[in-house]
This record gives sequence, structure tokens and C-alpha cells, in this order.
Amino acid sequence: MNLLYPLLVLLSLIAASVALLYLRLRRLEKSQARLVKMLSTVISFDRAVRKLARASARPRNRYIVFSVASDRAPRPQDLREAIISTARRILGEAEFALAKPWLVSYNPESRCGILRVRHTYKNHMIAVLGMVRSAGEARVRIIPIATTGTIKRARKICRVRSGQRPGR
Amino acid sequence: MESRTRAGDLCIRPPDAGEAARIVEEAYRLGYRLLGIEADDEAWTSIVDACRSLGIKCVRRATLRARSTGEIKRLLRELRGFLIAVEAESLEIARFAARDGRVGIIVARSLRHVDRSEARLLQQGGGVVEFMLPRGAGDLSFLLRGMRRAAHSGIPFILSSCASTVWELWHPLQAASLASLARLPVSLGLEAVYVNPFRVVRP
Repeated sequence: MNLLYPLLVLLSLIAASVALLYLRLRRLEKSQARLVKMLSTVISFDRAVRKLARASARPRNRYIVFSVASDRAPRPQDLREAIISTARRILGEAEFALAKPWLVSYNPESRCGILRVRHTYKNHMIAVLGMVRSAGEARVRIIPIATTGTIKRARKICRVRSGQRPGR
Repeated sequence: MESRTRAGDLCIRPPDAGEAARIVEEAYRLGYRLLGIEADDEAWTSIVDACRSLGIKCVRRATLRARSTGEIKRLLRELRGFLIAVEAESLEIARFAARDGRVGIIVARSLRHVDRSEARLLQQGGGVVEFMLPRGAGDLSFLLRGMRRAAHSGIPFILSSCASTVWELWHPLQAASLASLARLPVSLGLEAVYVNPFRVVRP
């Protein structure tokens, strides 16, 4: 009888400490899971930010679709020369090199053209196109129609304007 | 956000009624819905008809060039029903015109007139400063410097072509994009073409 009482106390103490230890471990596990989750969120956010930064730093092209109003049809090479020389004069050599403008195509029949330029210089080139007033011996006015991110879409806009089927 | 469907060009100078009709038609095609036209009485009636048929609002503009404030006062008393623009020959005239509520436009001829004091006076008068769209490289440098000064002084400005033929008209988007050449946000250029002209011409 004398031994039973301290044994019971000892057993109950052991049970209580095991329960406490279990609870501690559960809490630790939860906080650890929270910590892991937080860390993964931070890492994925960091990755997303880095990805965005890379995307905005990457030079992308824009395709400016335009139509030409003129008193006589200008030759494509005259139009190219007029646009490039005006851009060079207005932007200056350094910015012209960064803008990389290039007349991708010009259809004298539909009078629709596509100009490729770096995305950061899109507005500059729209303004430059406004300053082109002659090409060869023709008086011209270049009217911007749309700006696209792909050549495919730019060509589609030109086809629709010239009355062709928008498909291939 | 400004509407990009209704632009305004408050300086058109057609030589005759025939050319005026062609300009109005082309301006409509480009997206202009408000035109300020300088024309004599004879041409004005046919211009109004052309504008009305296309649904464009046309206002008759008069540009005053005077050497003194007294002369401007006299001219302002004589002119009624016009959109008044003043080409300021001196700083005194620029300040006077900016303060006067009857003057809608101050034509920028010198960058000395484009400063914070002018901005304060323009707030009283409700007018704007007008820059002419370029026809050559020399004009462009003045325009870009003027736009920068106006933006930094907080002066509302408009961009006008002062076209006398259809070949001198500008597409509104191209005019607005000139702001990017001046290293200003394009929104300022858009405001100069799509918003400020409508503020000058009150209903």
C-alpha cells in the first residue's frame, strides 16, 4: 500500500510530461510548417520579381502599322529613306542606334506599311512619323493605325485594311 | 483618363473656302472634333455648313498682334464671338493677356513668357499657352523646350498645326507623342490635344 501511492504519482507525472512534450512537439511542428511556408512565399515572390525585372529589361519589338496619304505614290525605297533619315535627324545617332527603327514592309497598292522599333521608343517613332512630309518627290503624310507586339498581327491588320482575307 | 476619340486643333488658317472644306473633312477623318478656324465672313458661312454636316464643332478664331496693352484692350472691345488668341510681343502683353478672361490662347513666341508667374495669371484668366506643331527641325527645338518649360511651370498648353492645307495637318496621336521627344510623359501630350482645347472653348 505504501509503495502504490508514490508509484501512481510517478506514473501520473510521467504521463503529464509525455503529454506536455507531445503538445510542445505539435506546436513546434506547426510553427516549423508556417516558417517553411513563409520562406517558400518569399522565395517565390523573389523569383517573380526577378522574372519581371528580366522581362522589362529584355528589349522587345513593337510593330507600328501605318498608312500613307500622298499626292503621288512614293516608292518603298524612298519611303524607307525618308523615315530612317528623319528618325536619325530627330533622335540623334545614339538614340537612333538604341531605337533600331526598320521599315519591315510597305505595300504601295494598299499604302499600308509596318515599322519595327524597340518597345521603349514606340512613342518617339510615332512622333517621328508625323515629321515625315516628303518621300522622294512625293508629298506624304504618315498616319499611324495601330501598334502590335507581333509581326503576324501587324500583317493581319494590313491585310484587313487592304480588303484581303484576314487568314493566311 | 482623357477620351482619345475627340481631339481639338484650335489653329487652322485656310486660304479659301474650298481648302477649308477639304481641311475640315480630313480633320474629321483624323479624329478632330473641335477646330478653331481663321476665316473671313464670306468663307465662314460655308465652313460652318461643312462643320455642321460632319458634326464637328468649329469656332472662329482671331489672332491679335499688338504692341501695347491699350491696343489689345481696344481690339478686345471690338471683337465679339471669336476665340481670341494673342501673339505677345512683350512680357507685359503676355501677362495682360493671361489675366484677361476674354483671351483664350496665348501664342508662345518666346520662352521668357512661359514661367510660374504666367501660370498663376492663366489660372485667373482660364486660358492656355499654344505651341505650333513643327514644320521643320528648328521649330521642333523651340516646341520641345517650350513644352518642357510649360510642364515644369504647371502651365496648361495646347498643340496646334496652324494648317493652311491638308498636308500640314497632324494626326492627334502623333502630336501627343511629341511629348516623349521632350522627355515628358505622353499623358501630358494627350492632355494638350484631347483635353485642353475643350477647356478653352466653353459651351
